[in-house]
Amino acid sequence: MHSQDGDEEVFEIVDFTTASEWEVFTAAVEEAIQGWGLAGGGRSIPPPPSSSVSASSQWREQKQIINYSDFPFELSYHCPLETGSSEESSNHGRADVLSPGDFGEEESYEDSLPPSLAYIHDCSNCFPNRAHCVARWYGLREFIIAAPASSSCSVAPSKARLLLSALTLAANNTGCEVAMLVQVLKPAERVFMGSVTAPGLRATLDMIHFRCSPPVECQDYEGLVELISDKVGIERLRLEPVSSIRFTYIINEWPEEACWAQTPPDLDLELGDLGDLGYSGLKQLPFGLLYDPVRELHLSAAWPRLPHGSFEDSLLRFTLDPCDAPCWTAKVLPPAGGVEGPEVAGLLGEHLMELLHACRDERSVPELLGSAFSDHGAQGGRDVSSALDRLTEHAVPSLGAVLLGPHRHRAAGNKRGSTVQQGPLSEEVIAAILNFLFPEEYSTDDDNDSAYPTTFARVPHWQPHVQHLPDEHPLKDVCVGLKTAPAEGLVWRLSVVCCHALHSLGGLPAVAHLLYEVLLELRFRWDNCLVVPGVSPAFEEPPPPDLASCLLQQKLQMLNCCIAHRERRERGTAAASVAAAAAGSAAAGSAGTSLLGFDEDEFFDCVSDDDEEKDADSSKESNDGLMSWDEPEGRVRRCGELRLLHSRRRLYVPATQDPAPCTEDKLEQQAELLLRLGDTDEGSAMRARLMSSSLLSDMESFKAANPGCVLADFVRWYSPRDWVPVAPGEDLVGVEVVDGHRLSDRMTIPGNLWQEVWKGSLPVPARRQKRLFDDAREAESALQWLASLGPGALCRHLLPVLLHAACCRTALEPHLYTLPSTAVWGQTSAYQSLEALPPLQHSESLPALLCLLTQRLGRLSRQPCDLNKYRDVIEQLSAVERCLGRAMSLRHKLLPQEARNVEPKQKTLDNKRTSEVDGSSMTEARRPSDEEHRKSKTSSDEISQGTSDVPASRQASSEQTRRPSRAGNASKHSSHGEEKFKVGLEDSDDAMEGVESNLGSQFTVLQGSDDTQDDKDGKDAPKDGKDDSAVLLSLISSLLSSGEVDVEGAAKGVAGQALLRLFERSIEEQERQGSLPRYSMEQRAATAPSARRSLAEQTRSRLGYPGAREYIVRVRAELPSRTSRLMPHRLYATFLKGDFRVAGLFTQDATFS
Amino acid sequence: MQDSECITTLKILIVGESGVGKSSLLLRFTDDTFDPEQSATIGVDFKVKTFTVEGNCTKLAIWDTAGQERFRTLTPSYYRGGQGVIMVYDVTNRHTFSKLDMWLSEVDTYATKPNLVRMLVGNKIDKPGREVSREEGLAFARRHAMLFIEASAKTQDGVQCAFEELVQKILQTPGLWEVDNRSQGGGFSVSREDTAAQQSSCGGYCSLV
Ligand SMILES: Nc1nc2c(ncn2[C@@H]2O[C@H](COP(=O)(O)OP(=O)(O)O)[C@@H](O)[C@H]2O)c(=O)[nH]1
Ligand SMILES: [Mg+2]
Repeated sequence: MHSQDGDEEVFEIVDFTTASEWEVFTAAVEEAIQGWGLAGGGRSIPPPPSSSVSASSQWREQKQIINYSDFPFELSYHCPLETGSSEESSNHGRADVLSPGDFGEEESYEDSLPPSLAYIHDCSNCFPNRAHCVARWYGLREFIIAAPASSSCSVAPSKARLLLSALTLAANNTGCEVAMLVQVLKPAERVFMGSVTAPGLRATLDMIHFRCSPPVECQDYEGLVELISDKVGIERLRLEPVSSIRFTYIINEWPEEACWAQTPPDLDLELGDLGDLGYSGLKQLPFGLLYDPVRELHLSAAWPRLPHGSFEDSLLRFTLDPCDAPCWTAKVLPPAGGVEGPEVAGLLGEHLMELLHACRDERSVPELLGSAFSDHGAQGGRDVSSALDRLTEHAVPSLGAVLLGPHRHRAAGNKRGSTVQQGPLSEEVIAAILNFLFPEEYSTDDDNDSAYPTTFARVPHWQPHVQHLPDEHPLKDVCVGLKTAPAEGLVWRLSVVCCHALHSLGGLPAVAHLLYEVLLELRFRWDNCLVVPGVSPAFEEPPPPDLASCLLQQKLQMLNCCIAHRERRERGTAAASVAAAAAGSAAAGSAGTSLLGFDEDEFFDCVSDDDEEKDADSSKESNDGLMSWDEPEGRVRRCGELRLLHSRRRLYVPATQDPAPCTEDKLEQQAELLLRLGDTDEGSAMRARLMSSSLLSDMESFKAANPGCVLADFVRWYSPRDWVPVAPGEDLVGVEVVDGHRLSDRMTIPGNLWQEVWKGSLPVPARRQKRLFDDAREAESALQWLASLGPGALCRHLLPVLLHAACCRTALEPHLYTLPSTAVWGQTSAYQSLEALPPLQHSESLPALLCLLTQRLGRLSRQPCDLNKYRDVIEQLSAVERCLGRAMSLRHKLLPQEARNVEPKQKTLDNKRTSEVDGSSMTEARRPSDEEHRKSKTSSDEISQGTSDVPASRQASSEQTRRPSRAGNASKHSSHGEEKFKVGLEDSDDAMEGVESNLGSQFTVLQGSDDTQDDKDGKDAPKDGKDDSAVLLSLISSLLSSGEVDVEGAAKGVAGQALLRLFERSIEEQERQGSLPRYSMEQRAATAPSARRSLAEQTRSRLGYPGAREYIVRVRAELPSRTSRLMPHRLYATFLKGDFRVAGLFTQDATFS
Repeated sequence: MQDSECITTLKILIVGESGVGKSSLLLRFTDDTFDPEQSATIGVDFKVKTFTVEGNCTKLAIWDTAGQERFRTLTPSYYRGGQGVIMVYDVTNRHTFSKLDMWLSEVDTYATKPNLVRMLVGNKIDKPGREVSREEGLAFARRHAMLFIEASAKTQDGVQCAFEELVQKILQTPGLWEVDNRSQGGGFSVSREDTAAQQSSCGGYCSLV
């Protein structure tokens, strides 16, 4: 333990055996000082904010690693940021900076103080909320710290002195007046010693830290004054110190009714209840906190400026009552310490993190579950017919496949499950999950609520009628950019279910089991030609893979394309044979339904089109009597009014083979292949050839549909911009011109690929062409891809989708729309530095923040998977979740009962509404007329019954508030006991439906106020519209937003009263439980102060015992000798339970030394 | 110049209606020639060129696409990973200009780099019969935050400059090309620097731990 030593020897311990290293170090520090521009004096530093005792400046840090020998030290420079508002930069105008006059002296020392020390006697901002502890303990505004670069190293005091001598020398050499400090002992102890050198002045900074109770002689103010007098060596009575004192009271055990947490979703219970399919817990992402997110409430009562003798604080006598303190500040602590420890996650955050961790697992399904679960097992179970399908193009469709519904399949699955080794998930659970993932589309059961939505979007269906929620999904626009999967689709559900499986159903093995079962189901669906549900809208043609969605979704889309293709192929074959017999009359109708798809048209050529043609060109063409070789085939529709150049018949758009649907990984492989052909002319030609297969197919279809056509006809449909108007005066030798147009130059170049392919193409309708798309091969490849995924890899594919779902889940929280975004990270956030998010404006709302998060997710989802970045998103989402939890908890704790449970419908004053309609302004409308007031008063009698046991103390304090105080308007409002709430700020779970959430619809609750004087008060009060509840809501909001919040009006304000009530409830509870001796306030007031009472008893107040006491004692004394100038000195002390720290700053006049 | 000297490889796409001169612009840039006999692109094609901007050698892989409707289903896959896109229209043909919105949304849908650099090129300014004024092109580019230049593949006006600007802009856009190189090894590390940083600077709560 380091304790204070004389400061004289500091410069003397220069160990010359290490001189060179020491010198190197000194030189490096000097360089750093120069580099930071700190050499010499004369710089000014922004003054501390004078607005409140706890206000914080924004600090700037510069860092550099400097080695001492091989040992790395971090040298950091700290100084407040210049704030935009031009506060007085000189300390002369500041009322709260002690001037010599405060001590009854005239001589001024201020001129000689360097800027870093200029505010050591500043009372206005003595307990800043957020500042480096060095700034708070020594009152410094500018300093350099040398600390070991690794937080696990500790610096022995002797070594520290050596370092300090180097720092001091460097400061001397460069004329740097910044305070230089060294961190001593373990970094966690936060012990700093240091010095300041400036012309004519030297200051030493030293600290004592005990991890135990303080010695008896310095347990209180008196003791500290003794200590500082000893130190400066002058008679105590001459000192007249001016002190700042702050007591902090802590609630860390909440009375039961103030405790807030939600009950965990009980999956086991729900799964056990499968009789009525009650597994809804699996379908949604959980949200919220299982533990009260507000672990502690700290209330600090501060006296920023207490002249010596104006109070007593000693073992013998104690006169400071926190309820009289001029400044109150409050803050809340999350569980498990830390400013915003990411370790305290809500349910959502916890689930997401678990999936993130699972992403790192590389094991396969058999590795996790045993070889019985290998993919071979799945393949062995397949029909022989499906194997045949892959061999023959035209398999007879099996009626069995159509009849064999999911029911049979599941039954079969269960049987298989019992013969095969049991997986981690029970049959019931598997069945429940599969029913959720693959609901029976045909089922019309009422209890089947798992059916997929009929349309898909990137955001789920939105129910704007819920209280607070905006009319439209707040993420509607940003979710479009997510490369994920449709909201509430199969992949989305799979991500949610996997998340639950990981968290509650057995971890990664459960996911492996699930994956295995899903794969079986998919294989079954392919084998039996059953489209996979939840991938694209039901009852529509499965679209080709959407490259804007994630690969897993694409693979499923691909599988569905294959299934649909195969189904059509098989049905087509069957139908064609029927059509051959029945002259295809029935078939014509089905062709008409789908003109765009190619397959159906393949088989049912446009009989109707022929008719149409006959109708349209009834004259000659119908009588042509086309021969069979010339019979047009595979027409889809006319191509506008175009006619063939030679025959002048109508030009028809042919049915073509769609380009084979393809997933992005396959496309990438193709691109890779093309790339490998190289950047040469041959390569280019080769590429063109490879890609000309679809051109060839289209040309053949075109020729079949348009007998007698030429290349120019094809070009006019296919690449109309190559059919160019003839320019006047053009050389037209050998060029075919029709209607003043001709083929473009590039199409007429002899031997170009278009001409070549045209020459080599035959009239073949698409249906008879070689298939560009092999459904069996593609399906097998998609299934193989899925089978190759381990559960970890599956999680990697699901992660963006899950986060997408999580963002949408968060958007459902009504409180999201009532809090400022600063509530998440606070105003001066340590998080801001690590954020890739653009800085938020204070005014921005949480939904705006959620949008930014989603946008960021969108960017990540398009990039190669970077788990660290996803981790950031998860942490940010968790922060939002925690914030909402804290908001709920604080509302629960601080808002009076009525405000939380009130039923607005009954309380809404109709006549108030009318008065608004009458045109009175909103603020006026908020002030009830006398009549209204009386009316509402009567109605309030029932309401206030529940709170008739309002402590007498509250009544008493209400009396106090009548007196003019700093609390101002707010307290006046509180005095007439009226509580009005904006519906827009109310709890969602408070049965608020049916009330429009516009600001105008308010309601009034009275709290048993008794006299007519209230009405008068009400009238006199300024019309700021700020009522009790609004004050409390803004307190809650700022408790969430900033670390420490000024409680307006201290004990007398509305907020202060609410906090006081909370403390009193907590104390009552503790007294009931016997953890605190009973002790009534009356007793305390009645008992004359006497020496017999213990300190504990004396310091107990309505807030209980202070959990922490802080003292700043400021004195002026001639140092080092009686002939020196009067110099400022400062002593800071904290008393915590089992922790005691004193930090002293002493200046010496060095003018003559 | 050798690959190893190049700081990065950039993927650039050229899109736009068929016949606006995409392939001609590319040929002008890579080979500094104009070939009126160039045949119409089928599907996609590409050329590679190493290119030095402000001393930074970059290797450009430039993908040329066919603009025809029927090829369009094929091309989006080649947008993946593109860091820059050149959208070309023909100043002598208004139709090619009015189709730009469609091309823009196609790029937005399929490009994987969220902040890829987009450049609008009005081609064939040498040709008489202009139908789209420079101001219109400018306005479109401004509305959609694109680079803009008018050019002629035939006379080579603006071609070099267009590619230069584009590459420079890409290199100036952080995260657009560095990310690729860095994220290769970026994997599964859990440790984070900022937690350490947070410990060292002490928050407002430290006195009452
Ligand atoms: N006058 C003129 N013609 C051009 C220019 N660029 C291309 N062309 C012509 O426009 C036609 C189409 O060019 P091409 O590069 O194949 O267009 P793409 O389909 O967009 O690749 C060809 O006949 C070119 O010769 C240009 O800058 N000026
Ligand atoms: Mg081309």
